[in-house]
Amino acid sequence: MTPSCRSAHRVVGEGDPLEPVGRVAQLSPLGRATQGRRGAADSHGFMTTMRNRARLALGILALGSVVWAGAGCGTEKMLGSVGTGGAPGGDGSGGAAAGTTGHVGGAGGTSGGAGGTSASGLQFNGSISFFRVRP
Amino acid sequence: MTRSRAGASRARAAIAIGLFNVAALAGSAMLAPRLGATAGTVMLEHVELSAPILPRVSVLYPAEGANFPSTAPARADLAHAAALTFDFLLPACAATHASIIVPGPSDPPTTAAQNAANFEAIASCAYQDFVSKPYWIPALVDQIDICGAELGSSWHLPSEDEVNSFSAADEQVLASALSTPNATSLFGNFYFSLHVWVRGTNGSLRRGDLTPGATARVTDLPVDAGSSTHYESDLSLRCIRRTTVTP
Repeated sequence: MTPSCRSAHRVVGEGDPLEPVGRVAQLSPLGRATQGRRGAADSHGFMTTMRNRARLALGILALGSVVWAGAGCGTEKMLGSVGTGGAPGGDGSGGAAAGTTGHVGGAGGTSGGAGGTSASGLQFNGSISFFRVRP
Repeated sequence: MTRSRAGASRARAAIAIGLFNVAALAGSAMLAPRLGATAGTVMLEHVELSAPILPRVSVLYPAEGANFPSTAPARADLAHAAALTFDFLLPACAATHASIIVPGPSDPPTTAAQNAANFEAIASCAYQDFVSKPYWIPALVDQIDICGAELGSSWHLPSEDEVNSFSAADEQVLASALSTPNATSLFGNFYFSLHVWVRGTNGSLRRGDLTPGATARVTDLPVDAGSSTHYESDLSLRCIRRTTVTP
């Protein structure tokens, strides 16, 4: 992650340019990084971000939800090595339309979706993981 | 509506939607979260329990008992020389075990089924190719931060409190992930043990049981934690990392 990308991290708010990048595809039983389908060429792989994984675990981000990413870049390595060669990802993944319950936009903006091919090539590190409410 | 009021409205909506979905998932054994004690405040965390760090007994046994290193640095060196991590075993075993799948830079991530198959192949490989058994020397586990040294400073030996904090659903996640088709029958089946070394509340080394339904999750170690002789049991040296997810 370059300094310029890091500085771009922010909470996506009203009026921020957003672009659709794909849909939530899956959350495996082993708790590995979820994988977003390829969306815009520069910002798929966003589902490696921890916050979206938490949202998915809690059902805030429903399977099949459209996920939006703001402009910017950044990567986040969740499990093992991140692939190389991709273009920068989105700066966080903003909010998500959660089914029919309404738009939850503006609450996202985390440390950036992994860019380019970074959703691919992730190596499972052998750990078993899950999200929970902190005791 | 002002920006702050709009923000508050969005926050309330998000919490409401979140709680709705939490309730909807309450019956899910896989991901059912627990609400915190403070109403309206939900702190999330990502919990990771590592693959076991296995010792190469061909390295460990010659250095036990009378040959056990007398200094902390030498003991740390011994632990490091013996330790086999998943990150090491995955590529090392892939070279000789064709069934292991290591995704390339442009490949999709491995599936859950592929991960399970990799578990099995690595368990066999660790035993057959690297002469590993789960028989760590208690004094090494007690005195050396093997988790931090091998996996990074964000990892540590599970504490008694952490083991006791696991819900039935949490334990089921662990058990399900390790219930691979051949987990109990292959060489290296100790790889799938949910009995773990634990740092007790009083600082002593203890034994943890993460098996769903276990009546006593943390019990005394049956041997002296200061023993410099390897301990033959199914205790896995698994490490834990907990990361708070900032809402």
